[in-house]
Amino acid sequence: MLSKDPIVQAPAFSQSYNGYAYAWNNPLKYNDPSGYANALSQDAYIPYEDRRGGWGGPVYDPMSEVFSRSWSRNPHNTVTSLAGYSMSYNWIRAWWPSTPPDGDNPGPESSNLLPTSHVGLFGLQSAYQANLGVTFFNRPQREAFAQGGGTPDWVNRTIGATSATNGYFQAGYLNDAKQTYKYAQRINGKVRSANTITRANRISSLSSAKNLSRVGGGLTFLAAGATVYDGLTGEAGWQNHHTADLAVTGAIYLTAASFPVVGWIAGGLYFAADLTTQYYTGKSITQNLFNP
Amino acid sequence: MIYKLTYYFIYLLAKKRNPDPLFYSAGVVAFMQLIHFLFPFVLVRAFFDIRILPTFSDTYFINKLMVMPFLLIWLIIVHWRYKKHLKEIEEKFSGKKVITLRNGLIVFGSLIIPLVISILLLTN
Repeated sequence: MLSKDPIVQAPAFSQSYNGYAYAWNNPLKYNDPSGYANALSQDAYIPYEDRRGGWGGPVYDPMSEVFSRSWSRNPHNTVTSLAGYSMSYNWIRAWWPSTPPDGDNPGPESSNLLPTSHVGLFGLQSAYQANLGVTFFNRPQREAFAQGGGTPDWVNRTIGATSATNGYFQAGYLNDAKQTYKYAQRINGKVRSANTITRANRISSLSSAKNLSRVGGGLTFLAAGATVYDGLTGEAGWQNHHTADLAVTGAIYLTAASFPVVGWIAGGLYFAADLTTQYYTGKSITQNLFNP
Repeated sequence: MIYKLTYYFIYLLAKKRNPDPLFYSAGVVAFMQLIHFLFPFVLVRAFFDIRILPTFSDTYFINKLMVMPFLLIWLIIVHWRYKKHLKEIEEKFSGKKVITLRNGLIVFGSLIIPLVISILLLTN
């Protein structure tokens, strides 16, 4: 009987919302043996660089990577998924049950079920980030990861499905369709709402930080360079206020390199003060200090 | 060579904390190149009293503002060029310890020594 798919398996991929499409309308690449979630076709080519750990090489525990990387690099303490979404680690810990609900407890094995974030990848993300791929891993599977020594077939299929090809958001292979079915509806709703919030955090904390860093670094370089140029080519030669200005901009530059926010604030305040002083007195701050 | 070392050295120093270490290292390299570019002109001016490079204004602040667009263009060129060759630079220094006292002295010496000599020669 033909019926609509009950799972939106990759919320960020529009094909997932077509409940009547088979394997995202890409049967050459995917198949759907369970009827619930796509798997990568056995014939699909998976590039070497998209395989976690390489051909049969050591493989890593994806969860530990996800959390350790996010922990160390993300000041907002979030887990970033392939699609650029993120969700709070603490938030996951808070709502993720230690045992499955609905009285259907498969036993202690399943208490180690951990959600990595949602599956998928926008093409501009690198293969390196594909390591942040998503699926549900139970204990035997994660042990297989940890032990390395050959990549099990299901790992290859999972990794392949979460890898990037040609610039489009790719697959989410959900390993166990039954478990997925139980959790998917809860996850979809909660993850997506959390994504909305944490995506904003991510934008403000990383993208803007990078741009602000560039602007700050660029301005301090320009100030220092212009000071040196004026000092070394100007009619009056090198003056004490050149030295002072160079010291100030150098200090701001070094501060901004280590503590960006402090550097931006210091640099911005100094620039504003210098501009104001120049406007009212015709001289910069340091000129006023040394040549009042 | 010295610029590549400087670029990679600063990049390694800055990348732990800075969101865009490549741009910061490009800034240091561009600054170093500016000093090295000006150094011969300083020598000519100091020993032969010939000023070759122009100044845009006698007012310190205005002159700085006029120079900045040129420096900005130079900074962007340096950033793009070195970012493009980052892998090549990484391969060049792969297997070598870059953050060492010796390299630090080379980098900051190359930056500071010509600057200090220039300042001493042109200080009134």
